[in-house]
Amino acid sequence: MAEGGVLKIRISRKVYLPIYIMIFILFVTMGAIKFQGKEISIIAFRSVLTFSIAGMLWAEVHRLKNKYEINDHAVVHVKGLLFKTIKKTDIHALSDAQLSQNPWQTILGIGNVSANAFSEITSLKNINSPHKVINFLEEKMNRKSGMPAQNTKGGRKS
Amino acid sequence: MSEPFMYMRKKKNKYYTALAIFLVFVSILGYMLLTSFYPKLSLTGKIIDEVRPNSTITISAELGIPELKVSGDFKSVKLSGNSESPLYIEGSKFPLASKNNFLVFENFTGDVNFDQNEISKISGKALRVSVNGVPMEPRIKGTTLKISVDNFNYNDLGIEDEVVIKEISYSTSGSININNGKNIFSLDGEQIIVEDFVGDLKILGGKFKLDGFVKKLDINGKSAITISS
Repeated sequence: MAEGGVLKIRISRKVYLPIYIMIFILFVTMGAIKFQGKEISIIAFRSVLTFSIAGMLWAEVHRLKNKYEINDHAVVHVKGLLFKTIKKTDIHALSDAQLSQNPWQTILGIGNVSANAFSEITSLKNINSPHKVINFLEEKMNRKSGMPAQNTKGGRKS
Repeated sequence: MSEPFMYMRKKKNKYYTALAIFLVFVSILGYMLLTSFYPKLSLTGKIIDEVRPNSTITISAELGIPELKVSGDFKSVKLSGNSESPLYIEGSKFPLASKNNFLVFENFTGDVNFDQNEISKISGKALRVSVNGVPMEPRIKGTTLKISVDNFNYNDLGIEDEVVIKEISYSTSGSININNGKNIFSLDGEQIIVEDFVGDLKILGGKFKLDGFVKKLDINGKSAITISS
């Protein structure tokens, strides 16, 4: 994940678990129908294939559309695949960082990390290992402000 | 536009996207289960049903055998002949004796392709199969047997209830009886076009017999006749 002080992150694939579960249910149902010796209509079979392929593609494209990077100077959010919007928030300007997790995210081990610069908020949504990410971000913020690194779990408030 | 408003709109869009994906999933799952456990609910069946009310001219014909492909749900398909072509049931090969084979497929759904020489292909599923009087049924009640026969040299073929033929067009000889004897046509090498036939089909003694209803009949030969409902 980290490359010489730079952390590059994408949305976790765990977010798309409901899509994968739906595809799994469709294939298990098809298997059960075949096991019972019943015929599956060609339209149903094609629909299952189309839904599965479209679902996987959509999930992957959606994931690739958001890229986050934390380096020594800024928190960068690159949004879009063909038409990109790049939002940079200077580490100097960051006042605090916040980690939030709903129950579903806690179970899956993912979360949202917000880097707050006054009224400007850069959110790193649905990322893996959010605790490690917030610690990494804090380390960068502390290094910039000349403070010694702290190891906090829930976040930091300056 | 204010940020909270944008946030609310984004959240709403996200909710609708998730709901749409879930509804598509439920529809596919429901359709798959319905069509598998209740095959009679299929869309094809509904389309075939719609042909019948328009086909109001009663026809009884005895003609030459055309090259024809019929497909659909039939009450029974009966065929007899001398053929060494194997019969495949659920992928297993059943060799047929070379003389006097009599096959019956009950509640058959599938395709039957034939010409005057042979039945080139029968492919589909049936609730019950009888080979020379020996009945075969699937292990699980209510399920179907997948069957196929290729290049069967036949003597007789009968497809009952109900064959739907969109159009047959060929040159033939024989007789056509329309509306229970009101019009009888004798054909001698004349071109006929039968549209939207619904009924029973038999091939007996080298004659192609149709018994049912048609929407339109064209005879082009010594005289041009068109009958339509």
